[in-house]
Amino acid sequence: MTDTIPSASAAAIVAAIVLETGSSVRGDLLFLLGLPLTLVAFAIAARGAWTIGDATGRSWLPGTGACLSMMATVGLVTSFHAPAWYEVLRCLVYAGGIVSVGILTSGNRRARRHAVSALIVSATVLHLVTPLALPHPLIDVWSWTQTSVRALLHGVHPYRAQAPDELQGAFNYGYALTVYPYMPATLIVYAPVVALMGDFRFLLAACVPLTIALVRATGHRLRAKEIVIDAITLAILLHPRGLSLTAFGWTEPLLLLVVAAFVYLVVRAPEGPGQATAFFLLPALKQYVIAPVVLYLVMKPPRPPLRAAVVGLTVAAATIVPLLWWDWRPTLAGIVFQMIELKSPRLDSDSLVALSGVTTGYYPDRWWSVIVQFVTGGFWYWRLRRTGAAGLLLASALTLFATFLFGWQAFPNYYYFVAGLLLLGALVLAEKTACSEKSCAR
Amino acid sequence: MFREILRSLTIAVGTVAVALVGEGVYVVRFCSRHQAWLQARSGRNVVILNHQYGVPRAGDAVFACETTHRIGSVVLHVDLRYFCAPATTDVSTVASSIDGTCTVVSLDQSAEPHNQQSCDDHLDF
Repeated sequence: MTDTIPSASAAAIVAAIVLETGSSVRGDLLFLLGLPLTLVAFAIAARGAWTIGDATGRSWLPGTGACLSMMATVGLVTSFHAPAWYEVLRCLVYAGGIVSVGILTSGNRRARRHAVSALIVSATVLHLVTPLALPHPLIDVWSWTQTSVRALLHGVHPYRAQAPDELQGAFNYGYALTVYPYMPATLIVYAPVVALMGDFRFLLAACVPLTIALVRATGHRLRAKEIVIDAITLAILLHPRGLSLTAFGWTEPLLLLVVAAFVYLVVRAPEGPGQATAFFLLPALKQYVIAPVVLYLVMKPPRPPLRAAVVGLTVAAATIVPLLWWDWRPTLAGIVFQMIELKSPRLDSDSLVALSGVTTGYYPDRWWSVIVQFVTGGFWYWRLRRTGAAGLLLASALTLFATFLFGWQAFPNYYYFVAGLLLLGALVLAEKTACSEKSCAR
Repeated sequence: MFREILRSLTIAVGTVAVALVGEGVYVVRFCSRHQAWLQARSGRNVVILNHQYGVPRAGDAVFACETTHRIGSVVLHVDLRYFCAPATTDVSTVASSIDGTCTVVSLDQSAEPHNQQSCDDHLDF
């Protein structure tokens, strides 16, 4: 059967698309459509991960195409109130995406190649002009990141800098932001971009085409079917809130680029220090990536050689230690801010905790999500410990997925990364060679 | 190929239809602003799905406004919405801008954050 791929790969792709769609539904329909779709995605992903190693092929394209069309439509109707010219361009790209999905499922290879190329180029341009369309977004992420990076560039400790309240006290989320609440590595990575272009979001915009390039290069090395690579490409580009991640300055596009680099290096140079460096940079960039690192160290393969692991850990530590050495108090305060300063869950989160809080007034303590992360991670380690990089990616995705469902905060950017992990896992599973036990465990 | 493109477009239309139905169900059955009106009228606890985090800015007053929620010319129910606007704003100005009836709820800026009345929206005149 020429139109089949391993069932786990098909399930991971569909789960990622449904998750991207569900997590993008906000406002009035959050608990009526958004959270139910998110939960469905979790069930599909879990079912798919459970069947890793099952060599039974599954017809996947019609269902995947339908989900992609649905997702692109949600992207088309999801405005974030940018200038009219930008909204027109955005709608054109998503409308083009809906047409591209049709071409993807048509079997016309030449048309598909042109459609995917056109979407890559147009989506890239749109991401790159996003900071120009929204030069001053009213969100704390952007203002705190700009302020802290500029402080670093001027020789001031970035965690001592204070950013202006862009919202002028109009919103109260249960905490007062008094310090840059993200990891030092983000400041280091953003600094050259701010110095050259004035806005760190240009790097986030560039992450999209770079991620696509790595995904496609990895797919070609794995000799995965071109149509699978194209479907995964569309799944990344047509994320309904993908542009808002660039617009508002969330870090997840950078995280996805790093994990895409990790997967590329696992395929290209599995014994080298590059893959370990890439994976250890994940928790150096975002605080919630903890259990995946533990999984990486205990799952074999792709557990790195000791020397590579030491190099990777050293690079990650090098992004944190200098700022701690400079002034450890504000640095530590910033790193742990989101773990300890929140007084109650965000009830507009795409999570079971938010649903419980809204409907009953009760919600579990914040540390439940930590317990869930490690229990879920332990379960999927047990199930997927001999399934190689694909198992690591799916186990990481499901672990973080469960963490967010039981977390005090769960927003589209968090699930963006989970969906990316699922798509990369699907890509590895779609490797062309017959799936013997030895060749599956890359 | 054109058949598959048409299929994709059909799914897109279906997606929009599902979203509109969902929005209709929400508005008729779960409208958070109508639930707020019911809670204010009856004093009983009701489920309000759409949580708001807006609060009065420095110098703002909070205006409680009743508006009629309509779909086209069909009247659904009464909504209760809270607006934050500069305290110097006349209540009739707020009322006419949102086509409803309003009263001033709070001018007390010294309230603790957890005791503050939240705002559905901020208005400036």
